[in-house]
Amino acid sequence: MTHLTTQGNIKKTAAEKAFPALYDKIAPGLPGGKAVRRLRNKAMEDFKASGLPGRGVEAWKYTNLRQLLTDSYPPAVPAGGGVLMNTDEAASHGAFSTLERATMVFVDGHYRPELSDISAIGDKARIMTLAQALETEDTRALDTLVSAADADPLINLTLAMMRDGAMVSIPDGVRIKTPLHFVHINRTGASCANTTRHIVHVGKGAALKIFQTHAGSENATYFTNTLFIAQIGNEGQLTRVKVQGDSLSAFHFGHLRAELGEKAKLRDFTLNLGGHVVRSEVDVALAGNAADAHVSGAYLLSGKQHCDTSIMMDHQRPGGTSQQQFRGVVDDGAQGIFQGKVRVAPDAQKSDGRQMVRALLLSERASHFAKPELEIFADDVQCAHGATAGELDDEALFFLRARGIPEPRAKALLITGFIGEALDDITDLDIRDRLEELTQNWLDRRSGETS
Amino acid sequence: MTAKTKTAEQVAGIGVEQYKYGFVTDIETEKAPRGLNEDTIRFISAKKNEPEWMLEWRLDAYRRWLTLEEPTWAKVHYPRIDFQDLYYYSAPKKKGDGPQSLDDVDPELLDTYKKLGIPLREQEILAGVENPTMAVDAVFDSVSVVTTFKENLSRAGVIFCPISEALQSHPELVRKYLGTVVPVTDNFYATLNAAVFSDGSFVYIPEGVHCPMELSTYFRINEQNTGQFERTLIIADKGAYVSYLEGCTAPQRDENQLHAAVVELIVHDDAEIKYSTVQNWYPGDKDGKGGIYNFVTKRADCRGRNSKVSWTQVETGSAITWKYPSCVLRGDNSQGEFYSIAISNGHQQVDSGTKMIHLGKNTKSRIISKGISAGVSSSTYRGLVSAHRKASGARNYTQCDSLLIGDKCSAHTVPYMETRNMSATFEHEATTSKISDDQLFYCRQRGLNEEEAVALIVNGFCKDVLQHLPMEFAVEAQKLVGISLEGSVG
Repeated sequence: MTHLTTQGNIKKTAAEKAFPALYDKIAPGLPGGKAVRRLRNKAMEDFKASGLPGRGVEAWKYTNLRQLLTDSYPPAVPAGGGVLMNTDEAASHGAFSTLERATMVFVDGHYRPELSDISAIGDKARIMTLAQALETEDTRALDTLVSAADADPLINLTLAMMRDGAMVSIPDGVRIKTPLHFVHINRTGASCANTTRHIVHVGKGAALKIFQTHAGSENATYFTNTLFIAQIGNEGQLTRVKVQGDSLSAFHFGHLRAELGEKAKLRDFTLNLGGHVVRSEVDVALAGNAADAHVSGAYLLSGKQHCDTSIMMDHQRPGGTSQQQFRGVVDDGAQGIFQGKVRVAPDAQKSDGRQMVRALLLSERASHFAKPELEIFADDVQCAHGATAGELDDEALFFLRARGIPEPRAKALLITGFIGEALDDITDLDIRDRLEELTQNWLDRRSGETS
Repeated sequence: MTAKTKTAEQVAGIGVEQYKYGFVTDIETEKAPRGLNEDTIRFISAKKNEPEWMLEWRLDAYRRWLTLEEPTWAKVHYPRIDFQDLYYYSAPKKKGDGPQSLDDVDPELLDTYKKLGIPLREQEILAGVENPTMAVDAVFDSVSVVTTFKENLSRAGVIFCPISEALQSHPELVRKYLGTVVPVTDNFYATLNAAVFSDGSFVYIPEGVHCPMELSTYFRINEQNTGQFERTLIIADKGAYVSYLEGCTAPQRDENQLHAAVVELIVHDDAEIKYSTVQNWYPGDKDGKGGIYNFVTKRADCRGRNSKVSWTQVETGSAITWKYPSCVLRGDNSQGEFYSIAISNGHQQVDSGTKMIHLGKNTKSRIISKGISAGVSSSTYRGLVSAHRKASGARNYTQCDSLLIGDKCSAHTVPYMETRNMSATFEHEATTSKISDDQLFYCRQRGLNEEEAVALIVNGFCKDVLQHLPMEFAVEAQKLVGISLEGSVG
């Protein structure tokens, strides 16, 4: 979301001072030649000018980073050792480890070829790492970096500090069946930052499926900041399924920015489970006629988690369709936030935009904030949104209990059903099963704690 | 016909003649010097012969206002207002001690209200007949010129008078309640209002009294370059009931005029206030020139248990509307309602909505908002529904629908839902669409012309809100819906 205003002459916070100081120290060691360095410097200057988003910034209304983020995190040093421990392996590959896929593993923000395996995709696609692309000043990488420049302070931080990421390009007409898995692991456990940028280009009529998972050492406080830039050509299709299972003390900033060509399709699902402070952002530009985007997700929060999902659906051309379907379950003293916006540009007639967010509060101390927004500049459109918040339906619970189902089980059933509505877009049953398994684990953990 | 020329014609069709309240009354006035400083405030306060504490209150507000910045978050665009270029006080010149009854009121003024369809004198004459149904307080620029049926009301114990008069006759009541719902520090325009407000209505309904007739205030801006800053304070004591109506118009002028009002409602145990507005300030001409800037702060405080407030508004006028009638649901089981129709045509910009703040247990609120945009106007619904920690069992239902007529207008919805209590249940629904061709075709087939068909469909679209208006207003509002959209279909 780009509508940021500079916040006048407010006193800089510790983190706002620390990031530029850190940048000055590490900049010489970051990948890329002079052109890249100029981009980085500019981004850091912009960050200095804007500072972190605070209360006065509407797009960050419910996530005051000036207060929540108190320090900067130095980038992680490339960890030695070729093999991951088994436990790490299982955790990081998450629920997808049993599915057939190609993998690109990023440990502490660095690509690790010896842990990755892209042979299943092989030579059908052009794959390299961002570090390589920056070193060789790959023109496509540079162009994308320039075009994605933004006033958003977190995006500026990824641009200034980025170290690695994936550069994937699918040629026109190539439809890749095997999913490509971006595995992010925080392994050092220390206070460190891993900043990655992925650039994915899906050619005309091409198709790609991506898994994106994030995991880290339990209770480690670290800072993950990932920007995923996707360009989908005419009639191309991109599917992304993201599972965020970072440490419950971590900061997670994950941003997907997708641009869709004519009749292009995006299917995006995010499951947020981990993180202490999470901002999960998806910006979709329906830039071609009749583009179609479904963005959905669920967040399951407990403890003191703070999870902010912000979606921008920008209908720029006629005939586009979009759907947003989100479910939030908030327990303990956690805070769930949903901000979603459907914008229809003056020429984007015959647009159809739908949005639904529902939140379930499980505890006296839980809170949920929703801001579902419509901004319509064309008249021949169908746009609708709905939002609800509340507790579990007493009558539904009674119905199940009357049939002999014990209370914790009955509650779990209702919650599973509730989240299930957001999973309906996932047509691949294997993937859906895995996601259901993850929500089930979360519920089991929760009932384990309460019983 | 291409869409472009069609729209151009549509816009051209929105004639100024459609605004039938655009005339100017030529009357001698008394004004405070142009501009705003502490002397202006002392001048206003002295004119009103106010007690010392009131002057201090105003000066405090003024000093606070100097430190504030004009809000820019609303989706409205207008050139910066030069607050030093306005007159803050303008009153028709009094003859002698001011009117004691209608006979003393300048006939020019009475005529003005007659033209506006507010027949003050006729009503007075009819008063001889049993059971009058409505009492009117007529506010002309900065002062209230006359209030009808005061006698009848005072027999029931109801106080209904200009707030400047209430400061003389019931200073203790005014002091007790003034600024307790919209504090002096509330926002830029409310603070400005606190410093310079000149008049407005004061209503007090004593315990257990069901107000015997509808109360109404009619606001009229007449003078050039003046701002109108009125302040309305309504108190419903335990078990009381009152229905209050508000209407507004202004002459056609090329420059923009500022109207920054504050309305405070206080509702005690088991009491109810029904507040209806038909706002028809001059909206500006076809090029967007002139018109009123309507920057209003309205808030109700449901202090008592089982108290109830209902806001109903029909917003058709003003170049810019910035208005969020709100309810603070403090008392347990208290209820807030907001029914709104906002019609924007030509170059009008509307940013309006409500806030429902649930503080007490089992509080309920309901929001029905219908926005209709035509021409090149923009209309925004902006609303907040929030449940605080202790608001167990809070319940809200919100529905906001927007209708777009023409492809150059825009409609926005910006709702905020903040839930801090698990047993609070909030539901929000919103849709945006245009009048479907099927509906139009159906009506046209039955012999209605396009304009009639649109008016009929729009009235149907607004029905949920219109039915909450008092009868007299509902009829007027229905016509107004038709008139406001005149020329919007081509």
